[in-house]
Amino acid sequence: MTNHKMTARDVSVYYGQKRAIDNVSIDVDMDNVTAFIGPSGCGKSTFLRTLNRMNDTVASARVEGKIELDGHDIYSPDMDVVQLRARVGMVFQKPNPFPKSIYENVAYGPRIHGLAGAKSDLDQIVEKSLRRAGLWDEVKDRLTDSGTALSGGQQQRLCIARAIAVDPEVILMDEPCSALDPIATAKIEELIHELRGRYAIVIVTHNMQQAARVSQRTAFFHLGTLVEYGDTSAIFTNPREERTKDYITGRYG
Amino acid sequence: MNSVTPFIGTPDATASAKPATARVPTDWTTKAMQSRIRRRYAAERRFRLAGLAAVWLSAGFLAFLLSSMLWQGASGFVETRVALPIDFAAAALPIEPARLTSRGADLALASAGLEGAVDSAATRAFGKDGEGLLSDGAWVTVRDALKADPGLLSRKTVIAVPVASPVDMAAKGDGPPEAEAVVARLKARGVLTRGLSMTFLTTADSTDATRVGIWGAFKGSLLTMIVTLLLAFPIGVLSALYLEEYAPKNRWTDLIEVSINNLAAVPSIIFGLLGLAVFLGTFGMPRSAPLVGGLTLALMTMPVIVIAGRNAIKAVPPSIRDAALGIGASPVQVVFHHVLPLALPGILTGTIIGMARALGETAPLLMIGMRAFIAAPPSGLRDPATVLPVQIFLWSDQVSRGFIEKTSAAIIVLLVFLLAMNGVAIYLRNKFETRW
Ligand SMILES: Nc1ncnc2c1ncn2[C@@H]1O[C@H](COP(=O)(O)OP(=O)(O)OP(=O)(O)O)[C@@H](O)[C@H]1O
Ligand SMILES: [Mg+2]
Repeated sequence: MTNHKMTARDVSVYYGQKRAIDNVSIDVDMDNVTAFIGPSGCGKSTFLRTLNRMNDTVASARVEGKIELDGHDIYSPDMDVVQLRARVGMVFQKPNPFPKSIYENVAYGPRIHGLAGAKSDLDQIVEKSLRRAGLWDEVKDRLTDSGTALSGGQQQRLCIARAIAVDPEVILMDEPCSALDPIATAKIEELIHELRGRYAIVIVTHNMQQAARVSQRTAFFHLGTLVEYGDTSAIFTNPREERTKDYITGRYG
Repeated sequence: MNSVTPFIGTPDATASAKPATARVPTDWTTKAMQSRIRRRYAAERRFRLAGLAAVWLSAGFLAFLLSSMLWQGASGFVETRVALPIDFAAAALPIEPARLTSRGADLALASAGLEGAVDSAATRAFGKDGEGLLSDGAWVTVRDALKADPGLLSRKTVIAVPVASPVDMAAKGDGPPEAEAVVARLKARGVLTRGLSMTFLTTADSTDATRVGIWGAFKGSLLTMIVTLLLAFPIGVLSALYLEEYAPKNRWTDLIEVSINNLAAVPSIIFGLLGLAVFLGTFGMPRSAPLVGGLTLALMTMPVIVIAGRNAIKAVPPSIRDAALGIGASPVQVVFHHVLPLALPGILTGTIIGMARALGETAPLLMIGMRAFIAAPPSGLRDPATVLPVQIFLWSDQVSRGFIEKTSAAIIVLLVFLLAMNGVAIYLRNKFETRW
């Protein structure tokens, strides 16, 4: 029996009348990295955003079904959304640093949650998070510069550092390496390996090798449905569905 | 089933063959191409010239306005004085020198007949119409001199006192012929001097052009603007934040939005009538008070701030909100830590526009009685007061010619007030501007 951190049962998501996710059931494990793959527009981001209720901010979005974190329904009225999002952190598809200093970007989360008492604690959290995100060496001499003055790839790593600074239990990453060079990508993958087991990790990626490298479980989405979900090795070597096979061999239109 | 290798490189099976006919490369040197480039440059030059002309034209208008105001108004800050010899010992005012330093000195000097003593000194010095040479306020200058130096009471001295309005006008080169003659005579005696008029800078309205002051209206404007800002800014910003960040998008909020937009377009005199009916009529607040003026103008300014604020808040990228929410910031934290600081420059721009309009507003204030003749500067929010634009309006209506330069001088004061207010707002805006 694996240790399910999050479970989703019969989840459907609508944007107004349009159904973007149709009856998806998935478990996210503590010890496994879960990868979401699928063609553009199939609903990977949408589903990921239901896991920490970021869809609440979209007025037209409506979620049906049941999603649990440690056995608690996250859509039940007694769930505190703010706390949920601190426990289930997110790295967005487009890098979105605050227009503040690099230091402030990382320190903001710990500060609002009161995670650091003294300034030195906060300094430590900032350094540790930036190191883990593979950004420390590049920015350690200019922590007071604006986060928006960094390059696209650096911004993305800054956003990762910001997300892990609040020490979440689950990390949702929406294409965290889409703007990164192979070296930075390798650093992020290393980070994912290192974090595995301590955090439940979900990663959306368009890069099949990356999914194969970092994840133990893979979910293939197509047109809002979950086509196949299973061990990564099985999906990549022996997919059950024709559509999965077509997609990962690149034969998809 | 066979094992599948992950997809690497281009899928050759799906690539379709190219059409056989090769495309002719574009020739960038043809005549048509060259003339297109020339036309593009010409269009750019025309556009730049038109833009430059527009900027120069508006700068020219502004320069013309300012220089003509300065030209006409500068003399309003200056008064002509005549040296008046006065013998206090001979006048024998019934007052002890000790009282001159006490609080009731003004009253004591007035009842001791100082004004009469000054008039007779003028008659003695300048002949039988000498009394008419002096401003009605001349004795006040003498009074202040006595208060400053009680020892004068037993001596003979010479005090420079302001002259009457026609003489003042004549001394500035624009008076009636008989006054011109008097000025020529006085100039020959060498008793005329000029100086910055403290009366104009420190007193309020008067019926005599040489005794009017701008301080009363200035203070009235200042108090009114403070009330307006303290009400309109927080209420406007909070409304904008609520409507943008919290309010559900439904028919009610649409209705509120339309109402606010309409409110910003309502003629200002309507707000005056509203103020008259509500603040004076229903709540029984005092007439002509800066408090009521400020409330009325706040009603008018608020919609402007709400509209500018909503636009500024809308311009904050949603990704910033997502970023903050995504690490567990509460909606209020998102608003106050991220949205408001980023929107503040835009909100301040709207506030400048709204406040500048309120500062120059006359019509609604006439309705609530701020056009009354008020001879003393207000000492509080509930005291009767007037404001700069109303004062300008009142003075421009006066028949006495001395008021013309005072009107222009008041306009200069109003413009300086406006510039100072905008300067502060622009400073604040630049301070909060974020570099992306
Ligand atoms: N805010 C929204 N309002 C309406 N429709 C939306 C919204 N966001 C996404 N959609 C729609 O939902 C569907 C799924 O979008 P989603 O962003 O989840 O795709 P995705 O799998 O993440 O694609 P990509 O790989 O390109 O990021 C798309 O058809 C999209 O048009
Ligand atoms: Mg996406």
